[in-house]
Amino acid sequence: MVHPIDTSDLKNYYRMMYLIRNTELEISKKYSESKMRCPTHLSVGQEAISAALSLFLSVDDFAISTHRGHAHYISKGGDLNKMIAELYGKQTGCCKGRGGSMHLADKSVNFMGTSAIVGNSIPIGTGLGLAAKLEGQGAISVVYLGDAAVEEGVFYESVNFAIVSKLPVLYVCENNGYSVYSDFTPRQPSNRKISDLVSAIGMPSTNLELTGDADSLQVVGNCVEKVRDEIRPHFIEVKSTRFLEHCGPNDDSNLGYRSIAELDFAKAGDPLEKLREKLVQDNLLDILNIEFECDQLIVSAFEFAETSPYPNLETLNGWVI
Amino acid sequence: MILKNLTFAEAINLALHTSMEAQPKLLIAGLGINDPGRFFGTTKGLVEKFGLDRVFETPTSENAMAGIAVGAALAGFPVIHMHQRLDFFLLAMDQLVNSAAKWKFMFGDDFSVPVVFRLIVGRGWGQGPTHSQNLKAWFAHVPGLRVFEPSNPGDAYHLMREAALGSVPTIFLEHRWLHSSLGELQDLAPEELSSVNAVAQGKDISFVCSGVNVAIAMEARKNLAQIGVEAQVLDVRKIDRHTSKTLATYISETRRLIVIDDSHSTSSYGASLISEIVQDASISLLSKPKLISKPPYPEPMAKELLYDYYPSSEKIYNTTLDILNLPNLKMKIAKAIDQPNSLFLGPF
Repeated sequence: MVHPIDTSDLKNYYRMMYLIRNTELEISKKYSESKMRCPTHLSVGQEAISAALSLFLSVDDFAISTHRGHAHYISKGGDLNKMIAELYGKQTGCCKGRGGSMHLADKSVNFMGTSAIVGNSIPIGTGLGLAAKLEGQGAISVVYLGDAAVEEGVFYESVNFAIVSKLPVLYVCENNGYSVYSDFTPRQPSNRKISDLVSAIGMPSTNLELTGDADSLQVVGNCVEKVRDEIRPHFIEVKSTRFLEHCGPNDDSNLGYRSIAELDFAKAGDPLEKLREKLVQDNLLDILNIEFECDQLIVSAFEFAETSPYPNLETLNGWVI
Repeated sequence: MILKNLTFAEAINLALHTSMEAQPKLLIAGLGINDPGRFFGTTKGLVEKFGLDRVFETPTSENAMAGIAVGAALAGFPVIHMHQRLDFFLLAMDQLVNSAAKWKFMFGDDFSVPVVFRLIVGRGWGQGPTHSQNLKAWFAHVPGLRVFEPSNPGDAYHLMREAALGSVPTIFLEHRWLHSSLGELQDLAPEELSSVNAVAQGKDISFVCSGVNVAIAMEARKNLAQIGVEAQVLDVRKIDRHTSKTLATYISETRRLIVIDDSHSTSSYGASLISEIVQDASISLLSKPKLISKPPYPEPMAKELLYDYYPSSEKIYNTTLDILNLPNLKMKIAKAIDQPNSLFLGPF
């Protein structure tokens, strides 16, 4: 079992949630300037699980993610300057302007990529787990996915292989209830719980709601340590809510595909706000300091991106094989 | 040390053994690789020597296993993933096209994806509509992939070594009829082969072919020599974006061209090669180039329906006569064969 959660853990948890949230909000604010010219899927409202995992993962652990990957990149320790520069299509971007928001990677921290294709990165993360097991140094692989990815065949194929091969892979399903605008009605049976389904095919699973408290953070830590110590896969389903639109910088409550009440309810339970309320009671100054530091990082990242050069056209033909 | 009378399957097996020794992290995965037949004999002795961690059977999950190969490769464990027929691998096109071929470019050159997908193409004896497909144009079309298609045991050895120990995602096409063919291997040491091999010289016409069709083209060349026609045979054993440039230098010597392709005619690799050659300002062809390939319908099962279905040495012979305006000497197309004949036993 992982060490008991203390106040310093909670502060780091808050710090990461705050950094992700405010990076995303800054992107949202500046998106209409049309300098970030790529489809952008923001993580606002869904920060908690990756922020929680950041406390328990080391640089040697692998992570891989989806089109909505900013939170996962940042929480794995990916370079913030390079991420924003990538969104701006700059040479200094983490993919030198070839990837954009949907394709982020930072090899120096084993953040191995994100994919625009639903389900596409699940087997790759499973293969990273195979490599980690063969290497035998105690690393694990974290595979982020959404609730629609369990409708893809490759999810079952990958999970099945991880079970029979006893791979150290933590599958993290952020269930935000929607595949673009489609709720579960046409997609999955109403009485099905994704975590139960995964348990039933042989992988231990945890169903989790993160409320910004120490207990749920402890559960995440325990899951990571189980995968690491027992060298076998585990599945976490996290209930989460995307506060903004599927793709783009805006609030899309006006479209009517989900109710305002549903969104308001989720915002009232925002783990970031809940945790802040608790932490400021102990030490307001500490929290203000954390927020100030994060704000500075974000400002610098955008300055870095704005002032970086565009990629040289002459390099374009390279890297193909 | 020259190895003589080596079969194509033995050459692949030898290349797998020496590659596994040279790269201790190389993995081999696939359905049937450890079964009693040992994947047409090509994986013989591997699991015994290198163990189940490195040589393993997989679930019947082509797409996930291709992605798992990509993931392991990204983390420093190159993988050779094997499929007993090419058509099974079509389930893995997402991982091939969107992952293996893209990771290097898409993430700014920080990653390489050393994976090899070994795909076997069948023919005849009821292989029928799916097991007989050679869809190399699908793979050759995607930037970030290269396609290897050996025609003989010596090339099979060197190409497999290069694919297995390289850093580029590679489609490795093997025609089932070639597995028993005989040839020789000059040297076990790695050798990087050129993409195009001039198997035979000739001044009158160029035959461009790969894999299984090289033996057929050589047969046609032999028959044409008897009437004084000298054909050059060019074996395209590696396809990448530079292949047509290399070919052009050879074709400019004969300025007459027949491309023989083991695929359907429509949008085939052969058609694409002809297009590139025709557009190449450095060559002015003396006659219209011809494509000899499978017709644009699937392979039927019944042997009786296979008459004239495949490229044959007679068809190459007759097409050459058309191109050279020698129409009176045509050969009769032989009855279709649906099992390898002596042409596929080598040595070539």
